[in-house]
Amino acid sequence: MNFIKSAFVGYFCVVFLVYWSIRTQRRRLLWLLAASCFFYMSWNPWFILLIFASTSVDYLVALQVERTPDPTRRRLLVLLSVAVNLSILAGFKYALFALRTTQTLCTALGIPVAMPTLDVILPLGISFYTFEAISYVVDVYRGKIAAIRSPLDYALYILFFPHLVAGPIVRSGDFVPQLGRHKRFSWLRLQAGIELFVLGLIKKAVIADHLAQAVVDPVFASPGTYGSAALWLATLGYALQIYGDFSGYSDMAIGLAHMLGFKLPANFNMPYFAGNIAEFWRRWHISLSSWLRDYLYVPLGGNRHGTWSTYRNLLLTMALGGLWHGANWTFILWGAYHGMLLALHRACPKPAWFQSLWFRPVAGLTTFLSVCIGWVFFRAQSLTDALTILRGLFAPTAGEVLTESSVHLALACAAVMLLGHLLGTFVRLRRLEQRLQVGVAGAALAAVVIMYFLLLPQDSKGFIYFQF
Amino acid sequence: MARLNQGQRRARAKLIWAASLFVAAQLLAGLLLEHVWPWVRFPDAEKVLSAAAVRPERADLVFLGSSRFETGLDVCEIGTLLERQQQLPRACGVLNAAVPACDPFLAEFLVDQLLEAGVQPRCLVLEMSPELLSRYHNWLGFHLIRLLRWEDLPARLPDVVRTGNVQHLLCWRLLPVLLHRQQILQHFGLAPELSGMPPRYNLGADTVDRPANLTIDMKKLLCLPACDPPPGHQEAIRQALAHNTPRRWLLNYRIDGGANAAALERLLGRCRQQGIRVLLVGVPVTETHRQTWTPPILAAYHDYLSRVCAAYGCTFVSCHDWLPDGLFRDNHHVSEAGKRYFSRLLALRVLAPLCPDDASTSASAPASP
Repeated sequence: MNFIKSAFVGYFCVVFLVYWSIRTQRRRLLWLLAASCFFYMSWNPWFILLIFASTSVDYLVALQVERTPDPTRRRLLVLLSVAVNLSILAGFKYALFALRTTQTLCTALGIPVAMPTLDVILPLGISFYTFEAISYVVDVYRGKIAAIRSPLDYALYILFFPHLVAGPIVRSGDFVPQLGRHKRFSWLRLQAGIELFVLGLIKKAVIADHLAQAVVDPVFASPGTYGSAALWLATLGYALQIYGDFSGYSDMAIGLAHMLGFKLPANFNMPYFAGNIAEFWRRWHISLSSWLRDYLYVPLGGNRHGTWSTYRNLLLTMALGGLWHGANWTFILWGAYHGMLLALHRACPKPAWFQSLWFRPVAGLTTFLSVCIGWVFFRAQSLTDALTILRGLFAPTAGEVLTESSVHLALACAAVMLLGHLLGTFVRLRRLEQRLQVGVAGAALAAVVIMYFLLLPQDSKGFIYFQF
Repeated sequence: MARLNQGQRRARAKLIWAASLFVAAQLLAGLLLEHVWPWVRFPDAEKVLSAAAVRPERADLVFLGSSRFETGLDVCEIGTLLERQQQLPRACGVLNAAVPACDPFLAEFLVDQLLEAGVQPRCLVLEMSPELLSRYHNWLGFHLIRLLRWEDLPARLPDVVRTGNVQHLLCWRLLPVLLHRQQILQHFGLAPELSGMPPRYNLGADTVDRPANLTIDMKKLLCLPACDPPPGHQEAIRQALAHNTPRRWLLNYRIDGGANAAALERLLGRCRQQGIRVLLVGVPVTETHRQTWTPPILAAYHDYLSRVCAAYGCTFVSCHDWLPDGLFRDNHHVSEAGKRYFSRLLALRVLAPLCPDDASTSASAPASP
């Protein structure tokens, strides 16, 4: 069950109606937990057992950590929890990658070795709920939050279906207090939730999927046949596609949570308007970047142990962040590239005129193009393909061109995205909407939904971040 | 109940407005698609009628059927072979009016449209198979989407429920913009149309300039092409069959009393009135597909066809087993090689002997190859 499929709409309507018809908060939470389990099991019924197993370990460990006064024992318990979570993640996600890499290394060194073949299905959302579980246990250890007493609350924190599969990565301190509050149905939240959900649908199914079909997929499938113009268009197209896809999913997740009376943290904040790479990471996949900062970068030492240690920590954090995305050297290189950019940003002097208004567009464009270069590694099917594309981007290369309709589509999507960013940055849309007659506002919402129906591609693609 | 504050009331009003306008817009779009732009719902039929409109009076031979006929007949090959074989003074105009999911229920509609457009064929070739005559009416879902209107709903509702097409019905009535989005955009020039489809209408020349000693090498033309299927072909056929042919069609198989049988008989009656000869052709399918037709199904099928042929003066030719499985790309659609071979077989073995220009030709069914 996917957010953009009609089956999900039917499922959510049932969940929503039953949820709000239940009077007591505890029973509502039970219903939500059952609905979330059903949602997850619709992908693969057996992996619910995996989540229950790891959830049980973390729940019990956190309680023990809170009860135990001995610092060594507390640290060991945290390490146990982290080890269990990362082992499960590594086993499903990185075992095959490790085997392939070892085989390649051995072959390069002339050592004959026969590696076993593995056929592993990656449990959906494992990267996301693993990070949530680790953040919970570490926060309890640090004393930032109290351990969750109710197993129902903890299970729902992990399994809550709007954010279960592809985030946002929610901190328990933000989510669990909401479980205890009795919620009253709110038309305002329902309206806000529906509008966010529709916005997410448009970003994902209209912009991202069209770009993927018409521009990105054909070029990245065989980059060697295309010329520089097509490669640039595909690279820029992918930048828009991944933003539309992922921020669209986040909007839908946040909108669904709103409709159920829960608030999830924002995950994107006009990232392509960032003036530098550090600002980009404060606006892009905010829940992941803040997680990496709090649970990886800071424990590694952060910027507390000198300049070169800071650079090393940045590089390591971002490289591991890249590895989190996928078991492939292209993802690691993507992460390392961003680590290098962050280190460079730290190292370069920043004169006062960097902050001036006239330089802002230049800085923004430079940041955007730097990020686009990184997306080449992220999207390319192999390192060879990535290098082929980069060569084509920076050295004029003749080759196939995209059709006129594909070019127009890409430009139209870019214009829509730019307009969205401008409106989101400079216009208080909510205040503007309040000034409209209620009938006109309703008609506008209906028109947007009908436009979405008209522009939906015939074949929708899955969410990019579902594979992580 | 607590009173709602202003913000809550506005939010509720906005959502009610949005939902009402959305439903109203969908209903309006549905009515426009039914009455003002009907071919947006049914672009395949529009393509057939556009092809026929070139010179409707020249369509001597019209084929009607499903995607099996649509992709399984080469009109140029058939027209050329008929012209040579029959030594006709002018080429035989051949129109392939087959569209996907066309059963006798839809064929009746298409024949009405063609006759209105001025097409007056001398011979109508209609695709036949047990599924097409089944009382179960499995392709009703397609007809809901592209053909039926509000006024047809009361008569069709029992069939809709029985065939499990309630979801199609709701989509048809409540979400026509979603259902027909691609066709709407194409109609208004906002999306490219599909190209590269094979020609449907072979008009041929007005006069034929034929060498006196022209002979047709029948043996060469009817030589079975190389059809070694790739590995896994049979498995692919079985999977396609499981996907394409719901078992519900074949359970409690009955023909009489169904919408398809009634439509077929009305169509045959109209053709007889118009002086149009009708040839019912059992479409070739793979052996795996034929194995789903149990003896009771085949008995009911042949019995019914014998009755209608006797009643309406038409002819039935069974070509179900004419092609080896290697000439199919799935359980019931022929490959390119299969298309050419079947077209030749049909033209030379069936159509030429039954050519409508030869009034003295007997109506006996020819032997299979």
